[in-house]
Amino acid sequence: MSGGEPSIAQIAALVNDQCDGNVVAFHFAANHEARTQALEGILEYSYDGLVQNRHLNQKHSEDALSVQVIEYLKAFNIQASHDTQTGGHCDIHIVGKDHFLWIGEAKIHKDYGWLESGFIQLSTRYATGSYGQNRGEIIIYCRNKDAAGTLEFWKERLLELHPEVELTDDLISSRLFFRSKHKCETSGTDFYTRHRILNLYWAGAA
Amino acid sequence: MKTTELKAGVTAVLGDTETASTCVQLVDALLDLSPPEGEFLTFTSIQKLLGFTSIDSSLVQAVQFLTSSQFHLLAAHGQFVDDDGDEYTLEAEEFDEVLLNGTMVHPSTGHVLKDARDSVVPFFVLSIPEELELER
Repeated sequence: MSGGEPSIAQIAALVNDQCDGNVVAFHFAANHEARTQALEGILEYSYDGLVQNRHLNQKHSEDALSVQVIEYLKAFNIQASHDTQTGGHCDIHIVGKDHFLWIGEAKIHKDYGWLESGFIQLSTRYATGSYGQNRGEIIIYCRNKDAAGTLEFWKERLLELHPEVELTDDLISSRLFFRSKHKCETSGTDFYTRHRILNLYWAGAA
Repeated sequence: MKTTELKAGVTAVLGDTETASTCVQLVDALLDLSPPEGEFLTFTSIQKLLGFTSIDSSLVQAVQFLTSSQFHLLAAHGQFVDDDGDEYTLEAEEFDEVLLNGTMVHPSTGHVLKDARDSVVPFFVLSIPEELELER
């Protein structure tokens, strides 16, 4: 405490920020890029909850899994909603100050065509690419073994089928995601997508 | 958007919660401030503004919501206070770095601080959106 004023660390403790300070960072961030970075940090904790409890969610639908993610965000007073209209029904829709919009399209992995349809939905129907609205995520709920291998294959297929998509970051082997960017059809500006796979395989389901 | 619509929006998003109630209270208090009073608000000054006995979680959450949501009235900034009590207002990028990674460079000594979240306090500037139609 400095001069009686609570520090950032003390504020985080007061609101039970269990996401390594990312909740406070999300709310106090000065710009959209920092807010998105904080949001991804919070999402990681939410995803970890799904993975840790995968034995309990084997029969859950895409919607049921996504709603759990949304409820986690809402617990921190983040304006998150499910199936909100933004050029179509987006699975995870997060809004905030200064036109902030982050969109997430979730798919239970069954085949790569299904993932491609999710990417097309996200990138051509839901994404605006406008100011503060140029980031989103493909969330892949994977109940097969070898999530990293699945994501690696998806990356290769995406880049092959969509030469306009550029790989910008590859952390599949350590963090189970990669990032891409492409020109948003509607705005002509860059749209940044994180492709995150959740390893939900559970041996007991077999 | 009118202020009544803003408060209704806050309640619609946060539901029937203590945070929503504190938020609505805070909206009224903030909109009653004169421009100079809104230039430097701290958690302590907001606590006094609302007549709260302490800075509790509902107060912090209300401030957070009014800083980050579509119903924002505040802009957050950071002030670094070093061991000697010297105060430095951080640039937006420096504040984001503290928030996200907990690190910063001491403005005078150049030392890298790895636990800067302990030494940085947030403060707020009243930032009423142009589209907000005030109702008196």
